[in-house]
Amino acid sequence: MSKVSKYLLALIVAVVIGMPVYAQESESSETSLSTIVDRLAGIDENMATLQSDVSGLKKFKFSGYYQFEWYKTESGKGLGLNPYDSTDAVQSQFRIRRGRVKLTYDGGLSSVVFQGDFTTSGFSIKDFYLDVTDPWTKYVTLRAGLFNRPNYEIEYSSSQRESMERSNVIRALYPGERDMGAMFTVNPDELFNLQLAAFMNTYNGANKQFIPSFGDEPLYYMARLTKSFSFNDLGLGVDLGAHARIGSMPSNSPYVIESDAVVVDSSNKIAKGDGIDRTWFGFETQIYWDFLGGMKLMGEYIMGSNADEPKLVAKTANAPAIRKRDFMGYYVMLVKNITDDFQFAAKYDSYDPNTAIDDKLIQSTSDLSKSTLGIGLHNYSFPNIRISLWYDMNTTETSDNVVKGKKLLEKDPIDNTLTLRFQYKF
Amino acid sequence: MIKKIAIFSLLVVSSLFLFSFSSEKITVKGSDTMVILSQRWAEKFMSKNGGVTIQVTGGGSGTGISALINGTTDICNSSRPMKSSEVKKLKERFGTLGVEIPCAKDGVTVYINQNNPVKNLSVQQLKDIYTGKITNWKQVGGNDAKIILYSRENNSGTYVFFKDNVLGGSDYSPACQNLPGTSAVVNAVSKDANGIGYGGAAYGKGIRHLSVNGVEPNESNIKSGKYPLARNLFMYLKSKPTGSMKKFIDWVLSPEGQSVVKEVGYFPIN
Repeated sequence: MSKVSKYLLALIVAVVIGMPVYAQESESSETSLSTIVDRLAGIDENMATLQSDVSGLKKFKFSGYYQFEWYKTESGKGLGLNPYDSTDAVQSQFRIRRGRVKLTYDGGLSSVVFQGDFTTSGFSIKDFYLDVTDPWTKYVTLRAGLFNRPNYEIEYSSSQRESMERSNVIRALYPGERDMGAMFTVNPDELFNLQLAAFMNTYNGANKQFIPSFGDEPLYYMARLTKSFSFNDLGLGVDLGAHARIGSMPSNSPYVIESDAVVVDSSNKIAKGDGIDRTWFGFETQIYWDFLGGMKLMGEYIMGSNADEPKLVAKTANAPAIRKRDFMGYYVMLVKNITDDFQFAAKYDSYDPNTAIDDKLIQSTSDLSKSTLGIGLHNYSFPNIRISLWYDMNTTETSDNVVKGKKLLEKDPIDNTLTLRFQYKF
Repeated sequence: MIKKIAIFSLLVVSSLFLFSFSSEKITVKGSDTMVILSQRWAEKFMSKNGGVTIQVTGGGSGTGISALINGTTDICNSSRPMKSSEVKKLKERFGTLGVEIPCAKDGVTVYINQNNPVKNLSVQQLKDIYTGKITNWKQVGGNDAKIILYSRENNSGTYVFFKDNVLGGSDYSPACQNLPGTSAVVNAVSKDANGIGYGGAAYGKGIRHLSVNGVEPNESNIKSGKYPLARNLFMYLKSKPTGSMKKFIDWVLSPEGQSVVKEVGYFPIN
């Protein structure tokens, strides 16, 4: 057998012996490939299910903020060294101011919002409402439930607001900020923003709903119209707006003490059930300017006629009477960014609860006007955290009027407040 | 006494802040469509400007805008204009309207698999496909096969652009598979003979770009605005740029910066 024949024979033997092995390997590879393809298809299916589940979960939004603060209120005696000195009226304390948790289910053109407040004082529901936007133009949204009343400073969240508290006038007119009702918001292509609302006055800032009875204000109505102007070349933005609150409280007494009076005028009797105005108007502006890192100037002026809360009817020598008050209040706030991390703010606000009465005739400290000048700094160096240092200088109008043998308010009380606040927003 | 403490504290803190200065590190965050473009810009700019560090990350336009509002990024890349609600938040936090800088042109293009015979779809057909009214390729002149929908996630500017400009604000079909990034969409469509997706014009491997309303998504049609889904790509800043940031923005808009736009596959802004 020649050498070539030997090689040929060896090759044939190798091919014949190797053939089944190759076929086996090939078959096994095909099986493996098919298994992998099947497994991938399974993973794809699982992924699709997971994606669908995750998309569903993404409709839930969880947000909130937490505020912890130390504050000290000044007294006439200055700062006492002994924090437990019972004769020292200095108030100094740590407190959890807010613990807000907001849950939103965003279904596109409709959503539901729930916001609760957890503090050491307990839990309270702050917001609970639904929003539905019209699917055709998307210009109109209906909101129904418990929510903020339409006003700039009310809708400006405490987590963002530069002053530690809202203005005196806002706190007096809109206690608790929210009420139960329904509101239409019309916003055609950002042309303007119009809010039209009706509220039941059953919540009124308290933490529980009360059942209205005769003498309580029934429905009241609110409207707010705002318009934004942008001058991008100048880095300037101007927002202008106005709001109104229209309502009346049915009198459960035939007597009324007019805003400029001290006692009931018996000849000025009204029928029980007649409405006493609780109607006021406000004007607002916010100016934004991209000047050396950005600044803004905000202000609001509100005036109108108010009446005492239904249950708080003033007592006079003649009979219980409803107390009318013409009032006025405003605030101006300047905010300037110093660097990326720091911000300076100053705010002046004033509230006169009864503009018509002669100062010398004021009978109650609740008719004395009050103003506050606040200045402060905010730090944003840490993600999600704002640290604020704020000082409020409060001034209360004095009155030499003698009520029950004592001068009403001879001297402006020393009640300035220093606050150091830590806020975490998520 | 308390007044003195307060005023003293305010003065000390104010003086410290007044002497602080901006760092030379610039962070850029936002649109995934713009990540590659932005990275190229950053690389080239840093190679010529030692001492300046530019860090680029994606996450989607919505994520970038949130970061700008929260103050955690200097520049936000966005493939859609900012919404009025977002401008409102910026105004509240920084007292500014934000600065919008259109920096490139793009067309949102519709991808199909290379083997799919369909060449053109109208905006209406796309809407019907993505809202689930049309479910079979046969209904638009293709094979008798189920249409598999791929989309971006809702934090994507492209997702919002497509929803606003194609779907007319309607919701996407629940059958849509949302993928994290244009590359993922391209990858899925390239492997799925019956898939359809959308994204930036700069992406192209293994897929085919459809004409929309009979208009091809090419440079001249996108630049002229003839292509119905042409759009600008933006950079957003919270206030007017200064220092290194201004230098970077000026460079991006310069002929050199705009040449990078073409290299990546988008179109210069002018």
